[in-house]
Amino acid sequence: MKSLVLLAATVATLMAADPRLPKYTREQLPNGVVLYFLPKPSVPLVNFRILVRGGVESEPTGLAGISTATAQLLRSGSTRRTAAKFSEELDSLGGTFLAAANPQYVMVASEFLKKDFAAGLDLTADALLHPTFPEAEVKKVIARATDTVKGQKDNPQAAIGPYFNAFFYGSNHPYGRPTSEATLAKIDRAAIAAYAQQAYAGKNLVVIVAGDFDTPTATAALRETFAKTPAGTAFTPAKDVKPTAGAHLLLIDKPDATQTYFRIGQQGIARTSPDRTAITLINTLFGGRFTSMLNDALRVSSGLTYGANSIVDENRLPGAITIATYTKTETTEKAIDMALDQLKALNEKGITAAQLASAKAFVKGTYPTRYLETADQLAGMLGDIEVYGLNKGEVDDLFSRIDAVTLEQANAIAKKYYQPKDLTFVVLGNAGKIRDVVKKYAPSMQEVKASAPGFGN
Amino acid sequence: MKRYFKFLPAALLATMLGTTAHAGGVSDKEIVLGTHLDLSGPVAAGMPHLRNGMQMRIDEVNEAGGINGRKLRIVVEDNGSQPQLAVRAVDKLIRSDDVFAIVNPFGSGPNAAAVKKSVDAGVLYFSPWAASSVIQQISGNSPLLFTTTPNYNTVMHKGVDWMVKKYGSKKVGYIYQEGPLGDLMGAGVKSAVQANGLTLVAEAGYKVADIDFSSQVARMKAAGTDLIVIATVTRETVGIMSEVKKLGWKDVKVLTGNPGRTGIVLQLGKDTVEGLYGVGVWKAGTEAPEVKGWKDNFKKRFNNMEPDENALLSYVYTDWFPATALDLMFDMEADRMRNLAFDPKIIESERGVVYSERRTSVDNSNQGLLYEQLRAAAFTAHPYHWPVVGWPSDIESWSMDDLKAHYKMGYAPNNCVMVVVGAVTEARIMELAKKYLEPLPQQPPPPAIRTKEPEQNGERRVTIRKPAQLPIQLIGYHTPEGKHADTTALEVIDAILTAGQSSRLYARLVDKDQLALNVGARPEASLDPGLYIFNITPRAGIDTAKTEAALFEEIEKLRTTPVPADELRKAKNQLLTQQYRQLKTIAGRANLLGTFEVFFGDYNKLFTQGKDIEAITPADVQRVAAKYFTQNNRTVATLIPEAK
Repeated sequence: MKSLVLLAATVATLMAADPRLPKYTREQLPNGVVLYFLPKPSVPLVNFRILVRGGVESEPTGLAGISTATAQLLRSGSTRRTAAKFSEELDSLGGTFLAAANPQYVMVASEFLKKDFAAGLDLTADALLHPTFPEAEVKKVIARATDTVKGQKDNPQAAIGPYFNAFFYGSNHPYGRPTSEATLAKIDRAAIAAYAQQAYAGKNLVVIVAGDFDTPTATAALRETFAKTPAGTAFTPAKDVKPTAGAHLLLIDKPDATQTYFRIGQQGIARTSPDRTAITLINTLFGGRFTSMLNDALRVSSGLTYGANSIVDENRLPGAITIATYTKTETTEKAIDMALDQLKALNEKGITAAQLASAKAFVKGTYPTRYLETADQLAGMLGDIEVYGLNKGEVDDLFSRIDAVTLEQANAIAKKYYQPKDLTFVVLGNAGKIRDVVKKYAPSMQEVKASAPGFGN
Repeated sequence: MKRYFKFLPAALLATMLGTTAHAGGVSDKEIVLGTHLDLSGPVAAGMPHLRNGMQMRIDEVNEAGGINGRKLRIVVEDNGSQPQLAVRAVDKLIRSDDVFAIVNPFGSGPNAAAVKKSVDAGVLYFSPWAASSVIQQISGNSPLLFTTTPNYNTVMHKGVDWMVKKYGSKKVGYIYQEGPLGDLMGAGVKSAVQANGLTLVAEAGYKVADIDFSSQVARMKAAGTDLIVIATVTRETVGIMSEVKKLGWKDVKVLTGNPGRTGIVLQLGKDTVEGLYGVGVWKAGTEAPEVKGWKDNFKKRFNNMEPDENALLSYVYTDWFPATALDLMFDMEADRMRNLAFDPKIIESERGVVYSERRTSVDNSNQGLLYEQLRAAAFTAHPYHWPVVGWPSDIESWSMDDLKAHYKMGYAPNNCVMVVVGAVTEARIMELAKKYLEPLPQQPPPPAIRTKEPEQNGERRVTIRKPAQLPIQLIGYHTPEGKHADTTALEVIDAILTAGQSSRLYARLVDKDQLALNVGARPEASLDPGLYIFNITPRAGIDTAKTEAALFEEIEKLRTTPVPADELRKAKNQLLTQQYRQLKTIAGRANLLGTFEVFFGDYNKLFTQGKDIEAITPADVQRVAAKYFTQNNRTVATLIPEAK
């Protein structure tokens, strides 16, 4: 009776209503600050999510890590509060405050009880708009960031990402300059203050309020809070920068490793690519879920790994499509060959109508809880819509975009983007045991020691 | 009356291809379905059963809260047994009623004419009562068509084959309705005849609306037929039997297929159809209790109408339609709790997978490696000594029998708690739980853990030296099981020490003394007494003697000095807002309920947790800290980087 049950599932999928963004409003203040309000009163919490356009892309050459360090220092002293006072007030409210940089923006996200709306906004805005970057605090943050970079090397899965980015994108690309001991050493208070003044300007700010709040009160408060922010100069992102990716291999030697971690990358897409929907479906089947080609082959059928997947970068500039997995040292070659076989199979044979239908159902079925369930998820979605110049069709038309992908289109996309050639390999493991095995995968091979500072850059 | 209904499993043609479905007919309040039945015409007499079977299931679904809160409503149109009327009915259902799907439409001819219109409009066509493979073909194998009627050729092949073998029939004749019904049944009749080394001695067709079958039956008689197979529905079945009786023809048997083998034929034909054989999907006379219960329910709903097999089938097919993902989830949970496949090949590959998990989370993870050693040292007797993923030699040597025994012990309904959160009703969930989970057999409960960890009477130390950039320090104290009264106070202590950058440990170790990159704690919910573990990543080059000394000083303060009121207030606020954060998602809610039920003994404690936290006093904090955070009760595990 298996078919009967599958049938029921299909029917259920068909009956699920298409997701829609809840009602929200957007306005722009004269100084350029964009305000969003999205009420979602399911729990008595309110979220402030502030995006500062620029992020890693806006870092001055040689100062990789400055956007993250600046973001971390926002809470470490303002014209009205010391670092300790900020933490004391925040924790007393049971609030959270997170500041981090991604490739195209810095995100400051805080969350408070509904009743603490005013106090929460005051804390968040004070950190964002009036930081003083005390010298002592700058030193602490830079010193900790330096140890964080070191500590990443103790965790191969965390370390291989920056190595891959440096190697795939190259140092001329903003995504190819990971934070290292050397770049952090050049960051001082003066550099941070100068960077913050330029970056945290009205024209770069997107302020999103989502969750349980009173809209008229919130609108008035936000307008007042951000009206006086200097407009400054809008960040203009670099254009037409391409990864230097190609057929080459980076080997990172970690002599105590008993597993080999590897990534195999090729040119992918930008967040706004028209091919994105089809790639999402193809990647779901190739390595985006548990029952995928890669995981079936490398995990389920052969037991070579705990998990194998495929990642599609989705940033402003075109990024990578990357196979990522690991295996014990002895099966390095077998696992890499098997991953490449799957890539070749996808490229040559494509997918079937049944697979496409399954991917469509999977993406639709997992979408609401991945992106639309909580106020902070919705705030994240609005932020993406603003930063990437999208509109609410990003959510509202998603299912019809998915439905519109035909088998022919999907297979053309598979052929175009999943090519078994010109691949960038990054391999981390015991080089003494795998060097001779992996060198065949690319015409050129570089080798670095995991214990050396930096990420091969 | 003598009749024989052979049971055939429903051969379901579920198509799983990609679909572009129409989302009409679905609003916040309801889902509109449509159907077309032969409300007039030669088979009209059988329609009330079919219609009521469908209505009964729809009513039940609505009574249980509908589908995700939406009620089902069905619009019934008449196809008059005529193809062109069926097309018109489907057109009306789509255009004017905006139906989400067409469900249980009747008749091979009408469905053959109308199916394309529906699927071309993107409207789901579910369970047409018709020649399935023909309808599939006409629809262009549309993924929007789901057929449930077993193919008539298969059914007829089995029926004819059985008759020939059982009664030694030598001369088989065939009377059929012209069109898809007769074509498909004929294919099965012919293949069965051929398979028995016979040939069909006579064939005679009739048209849907015909009422006189004398010529067809006469042709059978002339050919010396001893078995007449008839591809008929309602009125024609009776008509042909009546002709046979009229001729006083005794040495012949008559076999009809599933459409003609219905209760309504018996009701209409009475003595005339005595001696008719039928083949179909449902074994008549089944008096299983669930069938009896269903029949009683049907009669109660429909003014004492006696249901026939079409009423039941219509009910069943309708049931398949609104089945949501919930049915699938329950079916899968029940299936894996009872029928786990132990495939030696998969077991071997899974062994590799688990070993890879161990290599990733333990062998190549400094945190994982140290954590395993800490627990192994802190627990000398209790099974918490063992890592969940297993020691390498365990992974290498577990056997199929080990797995089977463990599966049988653990994966039993009496050993599980199921939490369902989301757009569901209790009535629906209980209905599904009764259907899928209740039949699962109980197993003896897992053996009680008799071994208790003896009291620790002195600090233990574990050291790992390996190539690393940064040291790690894990310091564990034995703490009671989750159900223990001190659990809430320990949570408050955890907030005081580690929640936020104003917490005592962050402020001291990370910020003020700059000894650590980060510091946290790992309160674990456990069934038996467990560990409360502090986790410190010292800064590069920092002597771990300094980090632990700073930690012990802070712990000593907590043991000896009452926590100030505003600091306690802060910790409570953090815990209370944290609760709301966990309630944001349906998964978070399910997880909380499950955790409270399993580890804290009662999900209801979730609803009093706020009050329980509020009740903690500075004296509670001090008492609990003094009780558990003692030198003798701790295990200190340190990873010291070694130059490579």
